[in-house]
Amino acid sequence: MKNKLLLPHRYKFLGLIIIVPALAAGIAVLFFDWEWSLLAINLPGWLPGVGEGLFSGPSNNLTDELSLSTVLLGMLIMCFSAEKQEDEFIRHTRLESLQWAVLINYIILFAAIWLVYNNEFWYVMILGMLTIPAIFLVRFHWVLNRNTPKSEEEV
Amino acid sequence: MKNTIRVQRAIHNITQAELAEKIQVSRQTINAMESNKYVPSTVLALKIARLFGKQVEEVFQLDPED
Repeated sequence: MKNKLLLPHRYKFLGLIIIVPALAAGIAVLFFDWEWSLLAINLPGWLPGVGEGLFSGPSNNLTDELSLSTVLLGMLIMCFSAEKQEDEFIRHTRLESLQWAVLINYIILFAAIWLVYNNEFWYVMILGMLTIPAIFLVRFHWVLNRNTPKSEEEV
Repeated sequence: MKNTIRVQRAIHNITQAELAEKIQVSRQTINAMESNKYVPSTVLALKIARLFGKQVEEVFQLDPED
């Protein structure tokens, strides 16, 4: 049974390579207001919420857009990469991990709705975009790793 | 469901990795089945039994809880 939704195994490493610098940039943007000056552009005014002229809107730095979308892209690539030897247990673990990720994501969100107020909720919304793939990846690889026999146990 | 995969492997003197390769699954799957963390599909159970030259019920047995 072939799972058509999966990328080849080697993409897992590609995803990781993409995530590392993008996550570092994202943390710098979110917590230290860092911006890469090369990425400053004028937004087109027709975009929703921008206003101000049809094509010449206010200036905006794209560091945050670029880092968030790259982290998400890298995580999705990792989530959707096949394992070296795909089989029914791995498919089962993948599905179960997705279930865990969605559940924990909403438990965190519910807790945050009641516990986090004012501007701090902004961070919940930003980081909340990453929790489902992040929890999925941790849980999926944790289960696989826990079931990987160490060489001396293999007999 | 419980199974005697570990015993059968010992009788046939093959490692988890060798068994995994013969039935085309990952080593994690063999390990998870042997530690009763995963119940295999019928297809996989039949493949394992055939490899050991046994009837399925000689390798896999129902638990009282099943």
